[in-house]
Amino acid sequence: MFGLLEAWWLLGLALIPLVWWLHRWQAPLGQVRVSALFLWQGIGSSETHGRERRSPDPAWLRRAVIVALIVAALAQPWWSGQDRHVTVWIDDGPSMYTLENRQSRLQDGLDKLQPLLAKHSAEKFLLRSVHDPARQSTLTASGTVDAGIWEEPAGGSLVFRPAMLSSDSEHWLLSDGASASTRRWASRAPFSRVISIGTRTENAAITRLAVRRDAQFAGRLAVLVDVANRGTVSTRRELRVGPSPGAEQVFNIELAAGELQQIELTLDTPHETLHARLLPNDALIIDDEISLDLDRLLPITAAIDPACPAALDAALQAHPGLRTGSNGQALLAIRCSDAMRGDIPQILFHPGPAELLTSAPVALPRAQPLQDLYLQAEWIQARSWPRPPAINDAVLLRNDAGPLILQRASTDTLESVIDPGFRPLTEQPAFPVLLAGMINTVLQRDVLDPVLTVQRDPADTDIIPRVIGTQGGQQAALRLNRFGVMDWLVALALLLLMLDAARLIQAARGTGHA
Amino acid sequence: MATHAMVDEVRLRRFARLAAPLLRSSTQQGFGLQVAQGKAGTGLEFLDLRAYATGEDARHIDWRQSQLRNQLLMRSYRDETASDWTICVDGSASMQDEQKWQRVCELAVALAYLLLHVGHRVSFIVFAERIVARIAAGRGQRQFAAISHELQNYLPPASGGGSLPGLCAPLLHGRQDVFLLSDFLRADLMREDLLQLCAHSKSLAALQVLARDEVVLARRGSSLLTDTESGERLRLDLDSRAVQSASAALAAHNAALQRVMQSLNIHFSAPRSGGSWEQTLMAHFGHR
Repeated sequence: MFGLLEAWWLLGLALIPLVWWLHRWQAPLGQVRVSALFLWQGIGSSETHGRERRSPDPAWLRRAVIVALIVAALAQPWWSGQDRHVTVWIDDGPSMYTLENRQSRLQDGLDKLQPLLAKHSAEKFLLRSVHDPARQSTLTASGTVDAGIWEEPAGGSLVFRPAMLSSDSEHWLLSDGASASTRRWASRAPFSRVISIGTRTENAAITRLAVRRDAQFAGRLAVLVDVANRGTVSTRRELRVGPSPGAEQVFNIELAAGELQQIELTLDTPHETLHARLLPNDALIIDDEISLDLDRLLPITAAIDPACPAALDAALQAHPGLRTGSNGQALLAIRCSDAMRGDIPQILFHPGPAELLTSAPVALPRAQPLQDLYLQAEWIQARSWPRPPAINDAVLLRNDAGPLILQRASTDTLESVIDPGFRPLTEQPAFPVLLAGMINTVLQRDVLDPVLTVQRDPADTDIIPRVIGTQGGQQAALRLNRFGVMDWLVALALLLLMLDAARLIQAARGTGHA
Repeated sequence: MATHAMVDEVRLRRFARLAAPLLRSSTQQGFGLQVAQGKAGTGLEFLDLRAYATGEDARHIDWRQSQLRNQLLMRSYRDETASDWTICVDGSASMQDEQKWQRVCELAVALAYLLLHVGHRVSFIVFAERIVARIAAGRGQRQFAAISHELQNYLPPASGGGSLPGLCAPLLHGRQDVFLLSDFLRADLMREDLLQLCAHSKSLAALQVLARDEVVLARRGSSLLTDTESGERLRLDLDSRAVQSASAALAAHNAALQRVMQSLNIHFSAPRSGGSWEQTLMAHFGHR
């Protein structure tokens, strides 16, 4: 495959006739008078008293070749005998799914690629995602092979460093330039061609949906919705939030250009899923909707050992994230005796005689849910450990005398020697907090007040097309990827120049001129 | 005879003394032989007075004139074998090379001195594409001075004209011995002109004078060669190959010229450049 990066330099070939013309004005030939010209006949060409039209110095041809070589070198020719395919990097970020003329920008770009393929000598175009290494397909003259993979936006960030782009292929980029990170990435990548697409600029998006239990009203959910206008003019939209189309709360909002509004609402009953959507849809539909799975807001069933003190049972009953149930349904067991053994996570309060602590307990750094807990020594009565703590056991709370709460190694069981029925403790507000922290620790998630959030990167909602500056990336790409003919042309021109200079010096010596 | 600026008179006298026997020998053997009419049996006829040279026979000193002129003078006598000579000199543009023309002048002066020294009557012609100078036949110092003066004042033209020695033929009347000095650098070997000269002369001797660098040119590279006479131009790349080729052409030309001279029974010599004029003339007369 052959091409020129700066083909307009070929206009310089028009200098060749000038070179020829200038060589007609060569210095007069050295005149030598001889007594008998006939002795030289047959060696040279005769001229009849100078009337014959003087032909240019034959050296003009050599110099014309030098000019042609230099011009050709300036045109930066390249030759690639092996690069028979083009890798088209597809920006498959969300903005590329903006509708333009009833189809997505990405599809629009793929349609633009078809004629380019017809003109290009490459055998095929390999389409690769800039975000997902596994996402690739082939574009042929008849269409895209495995076009289905481009139906949805790719998640994730830019995974390829520009330097990682293969050097045995020509690289193109198909992008709208809406993403700033993609623009920065492309500016450093060796793209020989950038196919820019996209015209639409207006887009409003739901950028966040967050839900938690309402702290004031049991059984209600507090909902927060972030709506942003990423376009260039203000817009009026209808926000609908609810578990299903028939049970939605409707908000009419007006968003100035670039404005972000937070909408707060409460929902009466918990549901499996919560939806939020903006109507009417704009050019980028996918960010007009957002859904949140509410499963994790449902209470966890816990089986409570009947041997546990009433105060402990009451505290557990009051936990908003727990509900009591049988051992078979439970996801958590609270034990105060050796009964109720099972495979589910457990919190075991060891039974036995207890003594008041002599020093205040302290939460260890690994016990994150207990970090903010403040306990005094006189509130706590501790028992002795039936089995001494092992070195591999994770201590969560301890005082000077030893561990008070620990997690046995390789188990889902949290053990404690704290007496859960000791009134000075159970009357303290810290008691339910201690229990909640232990539950969160053993279940490894926030059960007391989980906040469920789904949000979009605001940058993913930018759809305004922007020019991608490759900053000489084309030349860099071709210098990297192709066999440069320019160097050879320059070398050949220099060689001819040296030859010409040598001949000039030789001629000057022959005539006695410097 | 008076001293000539071109040639030292001492050298001329020495040369004449040495060359005169060769000249007599040459003329008796075939060319330039003409018996003085009405002088047979008288031996020598008084011809002129000339300066004494060391080694000459003291019997021929004219003591009376020597006393009057306060200089030793010799009586010279007209040789009974004296004849009429014509020296024809090529004065064309092809002879304008300084060294070449200098050599021609030396040879012509020396030849005139020699011929006048031995008593011949000498006329002098300079030709190019026409007769450019002519001195009628004469003897003695005045004739030598006239020839010398003519040579001294003449310079071949820088360009143009031609070499036509045949123009001398009508001026010879068939009784003269002719000595032709030229470079003979004409493609036709001057055959027609030489034939005319032979037809109008008693005998013809020829001596070729070439420049030292006739084909070995100093210049190299693309050059425009111009024939000094015809003005014809030739464009060529002057290199060693071209010079070799021209040298070969010159050698072939001289060989052909030699054959023409032999066929016309012309006493011809083509001395190599580098020798003195004495050597050239001695070789010419002694070569026969």
